[in-house]
Amino acid sequence: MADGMRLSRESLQAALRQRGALWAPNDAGHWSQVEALPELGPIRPRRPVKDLFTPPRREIARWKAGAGPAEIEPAQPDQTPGSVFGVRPCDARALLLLDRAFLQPSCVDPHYKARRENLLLIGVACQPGPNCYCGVFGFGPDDKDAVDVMLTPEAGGFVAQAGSPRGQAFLATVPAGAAVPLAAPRPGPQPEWWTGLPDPKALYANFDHPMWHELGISCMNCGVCTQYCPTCQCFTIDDESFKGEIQRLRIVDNCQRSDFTRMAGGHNPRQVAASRLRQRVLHKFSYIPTQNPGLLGCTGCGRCVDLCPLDRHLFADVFEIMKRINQEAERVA
Amino acid sequence: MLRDPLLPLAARISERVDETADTVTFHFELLDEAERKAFRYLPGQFAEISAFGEGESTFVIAGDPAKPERLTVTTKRVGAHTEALHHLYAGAIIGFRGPYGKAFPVAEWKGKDIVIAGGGIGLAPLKPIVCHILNHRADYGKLTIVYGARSPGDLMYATDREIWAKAPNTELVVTVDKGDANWKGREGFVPAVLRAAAPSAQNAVAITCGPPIMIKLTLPVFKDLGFPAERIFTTLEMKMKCGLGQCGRCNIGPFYVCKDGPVFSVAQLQQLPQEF
Repeated sequence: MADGMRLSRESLQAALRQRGALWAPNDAGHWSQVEALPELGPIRPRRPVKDLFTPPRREIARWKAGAGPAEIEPAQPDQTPGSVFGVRPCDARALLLLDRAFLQPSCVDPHYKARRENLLLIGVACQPGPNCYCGVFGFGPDDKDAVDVMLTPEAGGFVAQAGSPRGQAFLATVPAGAAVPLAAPRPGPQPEWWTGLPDPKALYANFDHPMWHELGISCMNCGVCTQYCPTCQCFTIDDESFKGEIQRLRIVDNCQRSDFTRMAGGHNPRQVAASRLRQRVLHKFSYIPTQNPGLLGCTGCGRCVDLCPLDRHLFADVFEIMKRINQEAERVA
Repeated sequence: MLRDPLLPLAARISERVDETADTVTFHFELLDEAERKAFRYLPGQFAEISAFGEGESTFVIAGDPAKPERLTVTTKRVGAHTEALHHLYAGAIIGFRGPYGKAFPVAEWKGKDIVIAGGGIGLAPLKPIVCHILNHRADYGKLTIVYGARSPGDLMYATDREIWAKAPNTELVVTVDKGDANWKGREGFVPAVLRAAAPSAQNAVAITCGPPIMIKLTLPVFKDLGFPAERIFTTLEMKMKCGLGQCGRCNIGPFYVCKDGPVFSVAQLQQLPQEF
């Protein structure tokens, strides 16, 4: 078993401050710049860490009304070096999926890239909540694969292990305490409703199944699930004008709004609620794994369950139905 | 330094053509000389155009791909942004990003007859194909163009159609749903007129674009004429914002229409969920 490194809270904080700015979840669960390492809650914060990398509102450019093309000022990527403290494995794993969109070689988002390059991800092992289900995706609350450093809290400090070469290099800058043997990685929660991940092809084959309409009846398409999802990436582009200055913005959007696919002429391929709910499930569990083998559009953070105003657990419902469909198919065969 | 792919280039409108009561074609050129000289696009590729301050929308590049310094989009007034565009005249500056998307596989069509069925503003994505074929006339067989609009006043590209009507080995069939007192031409819907024109499917490729209902009724006609699904092409209309496969809204099945399309063969479309 590899060794972890015992770090005092003070020495870790000093080393992180030495590296640059520091971000962490605040009391409201939003990621904000901090001076000192905060006490973290037991579970992931309200907002996913993607906010620091692909913020809900991101400026593309700005100009004065009536200005010529030479006066369009492109927004500059934020190159502040620093660290993000308190990242949970579910949020960190979601960034691996966002990398596929925003770092694709043909159209790298320079703002996203600058953040990814400059911000060290300092993970802190969590105590999963009742709606967490990262375990079903094969990782747990102290998973280090998508962070630079994973910390397991203990009295007075942490036991640290590197998750990346960058994290290893950072740990070399921290005055270390004793080496301690690492415990085996903790398994993530596997809730009772979990009966196995449906086959992406089987889900797709049930595109016209009546379940979507049945499930759609009890969804008000508020889109909270997508707004808090650590992997959701959808955005719109719009211009906003204020006091003679115009900003071109990239603004977070969500696939549960009927306007999302409504074209200017009025045609809307996803007019009914059921079709949008189906899109959310199929995108995360069928289309993404089909296009990116090994990846899924869900990391089990459970925010969509926590925050649903109707207390629905859509994925659990869909998987339950898929299980029945499979059992029926096996019975017939 | 990396350029933000969402940052538009500035372009100047060089000519405005009012095609119909609600449709305007803009010819424009990129202001930056190096960008202008390096720019290339293929038939069927699209761009994001913006009236600065009013947002951005998606239009196919409807020019002659052999003259990439003179860019063209045809826009129909259907919302706030196109309304703003329609207030612009020659000399105005617009934003441009592109080209995006997969093109019509015109190189693979060499040696074949080409049959085009377009309706209304759906002629816009088909025009670069026609330009390409006429630029390389010897490379292709017979070109048949069936073009229809609701009324004589809704027919666009009058100047281009004059050229096409006189082009060698080219048959242009124009129809309107309903003529007016001065209309001496054909009346009838595109699918029916196409069926009557009965172009041969032998060693031929079919391409269609128009209102969803027209496409829906035209595809079976092509099938009846003997075109296999692999040789019928169309270009999908789907709301897009980024053109890069990032913003998520044109996702359909495992594809993003902006990256994996917008040009698809009917054989490919049959593999997609029937959401359209």
